[in-house]
Amino acid sequence: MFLALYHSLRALKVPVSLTEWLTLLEGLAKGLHNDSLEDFYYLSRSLLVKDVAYYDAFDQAFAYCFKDGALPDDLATREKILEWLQDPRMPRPFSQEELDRLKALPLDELLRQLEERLRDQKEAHNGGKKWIGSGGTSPYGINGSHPSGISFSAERQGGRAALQAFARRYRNLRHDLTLDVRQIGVALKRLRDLRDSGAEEILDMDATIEKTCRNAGEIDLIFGRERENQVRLLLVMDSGGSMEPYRDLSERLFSAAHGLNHFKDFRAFYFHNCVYENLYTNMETDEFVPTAEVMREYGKNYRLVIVGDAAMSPYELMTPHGTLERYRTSSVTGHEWLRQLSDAFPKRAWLNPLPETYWNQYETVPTVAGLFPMFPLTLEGLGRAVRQLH
Amino acid sequence: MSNLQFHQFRGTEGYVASRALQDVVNVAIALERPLLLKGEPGTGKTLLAHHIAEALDMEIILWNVKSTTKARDGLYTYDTVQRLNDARFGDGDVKDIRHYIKYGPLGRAFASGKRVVLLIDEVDKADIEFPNDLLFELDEMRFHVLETDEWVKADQRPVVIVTSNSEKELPDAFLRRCVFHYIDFPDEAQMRAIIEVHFPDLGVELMGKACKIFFGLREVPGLRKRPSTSELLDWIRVLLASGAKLPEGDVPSLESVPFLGALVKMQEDTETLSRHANRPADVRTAGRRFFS
Repeated sequence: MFLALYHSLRALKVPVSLTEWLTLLEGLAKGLHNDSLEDFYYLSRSLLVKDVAYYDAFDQAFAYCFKDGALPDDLATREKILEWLQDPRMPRPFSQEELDRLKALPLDELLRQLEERLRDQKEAHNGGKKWIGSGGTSPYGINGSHPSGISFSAERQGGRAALQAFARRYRNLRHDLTLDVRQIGVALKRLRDLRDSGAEEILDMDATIEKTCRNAGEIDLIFGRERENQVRLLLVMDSGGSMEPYRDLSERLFSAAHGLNHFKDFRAFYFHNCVYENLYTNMETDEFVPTAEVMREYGKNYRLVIVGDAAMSPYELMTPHGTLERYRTSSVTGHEWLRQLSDAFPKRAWLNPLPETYWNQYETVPTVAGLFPMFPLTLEGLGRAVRQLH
Repeated sequence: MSNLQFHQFRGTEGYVASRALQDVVNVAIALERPLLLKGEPGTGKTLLAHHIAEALDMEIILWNVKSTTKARDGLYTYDTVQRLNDARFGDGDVKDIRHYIKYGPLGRAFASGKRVVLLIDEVDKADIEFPNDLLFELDEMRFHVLETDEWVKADQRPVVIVTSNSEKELPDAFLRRCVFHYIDFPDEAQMRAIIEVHFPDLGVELMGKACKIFFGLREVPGLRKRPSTSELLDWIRVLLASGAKLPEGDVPSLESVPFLGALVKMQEDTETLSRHANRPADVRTAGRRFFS
């Protein structure tokens, strides 16, 4: 009865750990629920849920398990799909031509079609080629032989599952998953260069002992300076346009760097599509600083991190006047500006939110990567970028 | 372990605790885990610790966390400079290093011998690794003093209350060990109970009017900082002290509310309010009951 609550919470993506569950059992053993549903509700909520954002999900799961509430929508969908997939069949083989054709099916397309199927499918379909079912050549279901389909099973047989929907048991172990603010913060903390600075107010024990010995026991206190991180960080972010899907990610990076209180100095600028003669401090109000000034002011002393997909039209990078930006007057190409930036900042890195496997699909990405060491905007990529910046 | 009974905290005369809050406090005490409190500023997170101490008749030890606070500071510091100075001028008992070990708040809570309430206030102000650095100490309720090679161990596990304003996200490992509660903003009935605790002689009429204006203010859209319980209490205190009257009628105008500055503290919000008050009557906003 109680385990149902645990599984419902997990299904609703509330991060409940086994430790917390055991704590709840300990509480129950001590009788803290006081034989009342209301007390049990507060007891379990305070031990299992650690963020007010999940209170709602908890209420849904609790109502489902103990008050005959309706199953929340996404959970209901999942149960329905799993029901269709009962009693699976073995895969039907593909011919080689069919395989080649199907491999070309991109993920977006797969997801779009899956949505359609979810809307239209009413019952189980096994051994077929269209519906969500088992043993068929349809891209959706389990035990299918589709080479790039979406699997709903944790055990991968048949084809190569492009997306293991609902069976993401190892999600938290993946090293390249997108980051939350805290993880970014921890990664950025590795970016440091400790040097002595500030007033002499920290007692240097070794020097004091040394000096005192030389003074034949007459105590002489030696004070040193505190070690402080000397890293100055300049964050330049692509904003709007093709970056819109990654805005959330960029914002998280910004708030992590901003809230860290770790760098000697931290500045952020924005650009659109490509860096030209101006860098914006505020995109909405068109406040900007000339890029040349930024290079003069911050070059050499600052570490430069650019965040952008670098996926632009080749003309935006290579053609003089190749942009729609309002204030463009000079005829210097975006590529030239990037080259100057790369000269001005010996310590630099480019973080790209696009998955690394997509980079070669855009002509401009390898060009930009030639100027800036490029890393994917994932935990692992960020770690590599930080090492590069040292 | 604990011989204290469950259901021991029920709020105090000076603090109205909701059923949920009472329950989580008692759960935290019984399971001997830190209680993590979050909630809007001014909902009484810090105050709760004081009243738990009062209700359970325990001493309270405060640890106000600042951006420069290190986990070590909470345990102990070894005052080398004092010791060297004493050695030089022949003061004090220099031979015994214990004289120069000074316990921090956590250290005092462990060493006290009695069960105490330890309040770690605004834990999110410190470095992001700060809560992680305390995991061992809070789990085991003991720590090692390097200089004397001794362990300081709590005979009675303190009741640990941790408050956070969510400025930074707390690490999962820390969260897993906590009992968590989000203090909701009190509804009007609860608020009346709270006011009554603080001002038992407040007339029904003044109470009604004050609540109406207060909750009306909180409903004004676009406020950067909505007035909180503590500000309402301050405001009522000023009203009583000055003897000022609250305006009559169901829809008081903004200008007629005395000492508005006690409730609304940001210049920007004052402007939002006057814009809101001066806007033309509009059917779409007819649901907003105040300052029309």
